[in-house]
Amino acid sequence: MNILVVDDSKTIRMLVKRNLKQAGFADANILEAEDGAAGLAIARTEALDLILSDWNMPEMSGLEFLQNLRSEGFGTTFGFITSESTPSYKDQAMAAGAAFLLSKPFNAESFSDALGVATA
Amino acid sequence: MAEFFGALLGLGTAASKVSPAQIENDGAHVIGTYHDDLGRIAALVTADLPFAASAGASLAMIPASAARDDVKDGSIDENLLENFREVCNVAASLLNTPHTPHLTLQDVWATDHPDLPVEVWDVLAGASKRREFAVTIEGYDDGRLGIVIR
Repeated sequence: MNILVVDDSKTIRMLVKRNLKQAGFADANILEAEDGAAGLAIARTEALDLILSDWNMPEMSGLEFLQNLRSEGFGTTFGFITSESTPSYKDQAMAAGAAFLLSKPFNAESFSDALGVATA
Repeated sequence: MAEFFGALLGLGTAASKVSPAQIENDGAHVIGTYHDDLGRIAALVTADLPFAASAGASLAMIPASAARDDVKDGSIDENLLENFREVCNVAASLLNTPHTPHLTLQDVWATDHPDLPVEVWDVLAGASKRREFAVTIEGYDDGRLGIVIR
């Protein structure tokens, strides 16, 4: 399984990877990108099963990243992990084709729940 | 507050409300500035050096001794400051509700930084709401965190 983690914070990418392992994805191949533009470049060349992305990032936001992915025909399961958690952000995420929006801070349980639904 | 930091840091935390401390331009505090959609500083997160260093270290599982060293030196190093920036970034979720202006973290500053916006002192002096908490993070030194609304 190929999972792409996109966040401009190296520390948060590390935390997401740690939670992925705790959530049962220890054997997954985890790729990383620091913004949406870098994530899009990886998505064009790698067969991804799941993308976990921050919302606010330089170069290309998570929402723009998702919109670009979908406009290029990529249907990869996509989840936001972000501190933006108001209903309007959730609505925008779902309208753009996200499977879920997980609010930071997250714990292992909420992380597992979101991923479980998205990858069922 | 304790629940927020427990989820973020993955460690046991406790928080209790305390009276806000005086903040000076002496580097003893670190401040996160939050802008509204008009680019105005609308809120601050304040942390004393022990909390900023402890939270920054615990987020990345850096030993508590590194945070203590920074406190002894009187300034937070770049690595822990970067991690504390992420704590402040996530703390935006404490400030944003469906019924208030949308705020995003603009930057994080030590209070003796020469480029700290002067506006910060106006916000501190004229805050409409200010809360401060003594926060304990399991395995790290205690510190204080504040939330200031313009």
